[in-house]
Amino acid sequence: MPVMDHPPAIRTDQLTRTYRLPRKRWGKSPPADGPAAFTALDGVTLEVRPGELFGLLGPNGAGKTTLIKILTTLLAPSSGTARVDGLDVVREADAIRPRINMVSGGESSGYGVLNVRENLWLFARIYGVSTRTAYDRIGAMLDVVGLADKATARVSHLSTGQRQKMNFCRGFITDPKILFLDEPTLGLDVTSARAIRGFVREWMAERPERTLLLTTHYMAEADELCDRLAIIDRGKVLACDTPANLKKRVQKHTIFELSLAPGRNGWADLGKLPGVHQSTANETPTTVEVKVLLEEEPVIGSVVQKLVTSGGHILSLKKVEPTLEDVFIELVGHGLGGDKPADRPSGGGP
Amino acid sequence: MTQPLRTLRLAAWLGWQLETNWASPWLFAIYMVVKPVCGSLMLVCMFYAARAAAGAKVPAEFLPYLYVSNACFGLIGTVMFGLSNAVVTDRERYRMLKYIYISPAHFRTYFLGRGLARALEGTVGGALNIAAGLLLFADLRRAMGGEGIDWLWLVVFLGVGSAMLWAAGMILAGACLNMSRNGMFLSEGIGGVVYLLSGVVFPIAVLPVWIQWVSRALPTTYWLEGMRRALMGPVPADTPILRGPLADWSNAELAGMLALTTAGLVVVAHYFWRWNERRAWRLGKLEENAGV
Amino acid sequence: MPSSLRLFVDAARARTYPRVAWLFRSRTWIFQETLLPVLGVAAFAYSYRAMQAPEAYTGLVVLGAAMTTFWMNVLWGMGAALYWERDAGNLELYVMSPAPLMGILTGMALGGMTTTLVRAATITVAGVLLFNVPLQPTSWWALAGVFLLTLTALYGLGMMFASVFLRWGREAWHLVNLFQEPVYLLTGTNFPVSAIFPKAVAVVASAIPLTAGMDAMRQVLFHTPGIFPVWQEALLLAVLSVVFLLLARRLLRNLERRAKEEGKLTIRWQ
Repeated sequence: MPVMDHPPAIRTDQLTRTYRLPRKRWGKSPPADGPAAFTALDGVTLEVRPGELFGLLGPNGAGKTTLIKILTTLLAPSSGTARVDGLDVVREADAIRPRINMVSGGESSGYGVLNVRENLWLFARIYGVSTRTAYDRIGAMLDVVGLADKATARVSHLSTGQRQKMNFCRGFITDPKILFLDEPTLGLDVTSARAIRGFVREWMAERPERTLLLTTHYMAEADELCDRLAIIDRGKVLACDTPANLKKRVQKHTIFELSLAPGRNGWADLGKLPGVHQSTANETPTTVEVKVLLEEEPVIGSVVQKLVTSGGHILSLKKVEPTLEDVFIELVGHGLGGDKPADRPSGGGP
Repeated sequence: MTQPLRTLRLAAWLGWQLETNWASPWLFAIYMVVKPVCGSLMLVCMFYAARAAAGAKVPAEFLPYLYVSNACFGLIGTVMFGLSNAVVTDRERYRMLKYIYISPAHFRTYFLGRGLARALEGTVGGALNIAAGLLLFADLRRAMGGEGIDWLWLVVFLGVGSAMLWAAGMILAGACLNMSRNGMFLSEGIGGVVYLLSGVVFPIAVLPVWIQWVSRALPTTYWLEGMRRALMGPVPADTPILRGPLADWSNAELAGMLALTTAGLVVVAHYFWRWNERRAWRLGKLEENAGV
Repeated sequence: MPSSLRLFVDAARARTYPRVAWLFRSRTWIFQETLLPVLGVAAFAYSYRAMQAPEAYTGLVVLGAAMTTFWMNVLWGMGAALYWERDAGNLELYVMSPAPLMGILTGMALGGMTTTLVRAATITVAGVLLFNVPLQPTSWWALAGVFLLTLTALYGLGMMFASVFLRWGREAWHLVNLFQEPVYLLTGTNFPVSAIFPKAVAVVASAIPLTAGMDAMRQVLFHTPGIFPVWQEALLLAVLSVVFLLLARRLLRNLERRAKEEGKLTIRWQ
């Protein structure tokens, strides 16, 4: 639970980061009409309280990793400010580093010639953790992620998932005050991901002053773990609140999920129907999964009628509670998996 | 038939891009000249140092011998090192080796293409090196101007030599498939051994007799002798210090022996590569990264 | 919270570990790190023999080869090190950690020195035995002193290169490659610099620690004429060591700042 009467663990104010695009080489230059720079973060203002487990939700390229890199002192902001544990990431980077650590899922690091325990020991030592403490923590962490039997295996002989688990352990063995987890369960099997989520909750509960910033693609993971969430897209924060409050945003609408037989029979135009706030569809080889947000529950009749008269074949229909995904779609216009937005009239309805 | 050709073309293009697009054309041109010329100048300095110490015992013909040999060997070094480097960087740095392996592209043809890019670089470097030598040293101008370049034999030795270069490169690249990043140092070390045994900077007659037989089993020895002859003519009879066991061979005998030993090398390269490729596949080395 | 000095020492020791571990775990290192370089050296030794140069010249080649292994390690093991670390995904972890990057580089240098020392010692012993190199040092102490100063200056230079090369991205690999032969030439790897180069060129070349170091060691070991007297070359090496280490520290800070601004600390495959 967040500690309320302390300065923010993380605070950003109008944080912006732009990247210059590649320069000319061997007479080849980027297209003249193309942009000279790319904006990864655009005026991000956020505050994470000490003790909070804060989530960042956003599609690929939204700017989540750029934000984490700035907060972990790896990247300089182009403008705006960022403070971690009250310290400025540009001027006081040296003071920030002993307090933080980061785990970036899906990336491999370490030395192939060393075994798992030695790699973790090395990264503990550069934080000044004594060898004895490091070995104790390494043992405990390897048990958590189910990698104890691989402690003496060379990293070059590990699978991708096992490397990722080792990487996860690396973030915790220095006992950071503020931890950044960037997609920590990416590519892990269900059991391992569940164990990691469980451990993250326990780790946060152990000491109230610990803060964790998590980015994830998995809505359920964010919903389950995070005290508060920011939804970010194209470098901008679109919303920031508790999962419950965010869901309330779409609770004014009634949500139905329909499963249709394949084919483009009417579902693409559902967003144009009076009373339909939003409609998204995800086509699979065997079905079309349609989700509609309605101004009022009886509008479902018009939806069904439209589908039937257009030749659509409804396989199932159910009313559902709003999820973070619905919030995400409401704000971003599409799902994380790239669900297509259906056409809707300007102004959002009749 | 189009698939191997496409692989060859794309691999050569990729190799050339990786070799060249890191720098501006000017910097790359400097790179192409400075590296080989400095290597040759070091030998020239050794020659003058020895001459200063030993006096007239070192004939003037020793300098062109050193210079031309070394310039030609640059091509061997570039292709041999280049192919093993292609394996190491594709696997460790770009992490693409596994994707090339599982693609329809013929794995060996891919490396042939990568080798072509390096061979082009090596040939241009060698030519520039000799041009710089001609500009700087009268002894070299005299040696190469005496009988002029024998273009026919030059083409013959370059033609057979290209098969030799590819085979030698594939042997090292094959070994690198099963080694970590240090494979690059292995190829450099092997390059040093070939440099010794092929008599690049001395006639092989200086070597102990049993090593001379090892030298005579290597196609590189015949290739270098052939290239020297094509560029400068045979070793003059009045410089016994430079006359090795091949001095009395005719050009045709040299070319025949080069073809024979190259054929042997190609067979060895074929089986050695195949064995290494299978071993790497079995041990999962095609995608293994091992930074130190 | 550990002190800066403590973190420096811990980081240096930790980063030394993978390099030394590799020495014991790589099954091919004896072959590739010792036998092959010795055979490579032999080519130049036989060349001098063919030219009927004095026996001491073979000693120049052996010493040159042994010392060149350190230069190679400085270029490939130090200069390109941060570049490799970035490709392996480790650099960002080091930058993000409280450990000073100079500590990490010192660890690399110590590890590299250890492994290279084995290689250089093998080349020297094998070269001396194979080619009957006459060794009559004027002072073993002077030899050891000059050797240690040369290593300090060389690895200081390597630390400087590490920053510069990382900033140059993929060009670093080629630049390392490009520097190899000119440095062999300027440092007189296989010949006495003062016997060949005009004094002015030799003096300029002495800014490379390998030139001054090898020249001094050759004077002590083989009584060859030198660019400067041994004590002056030792002094020069000491000055170069301090200058390079200070510059390395400054460049490293500069690099970190610039790389963070340009986002190059974490971008791989450049």
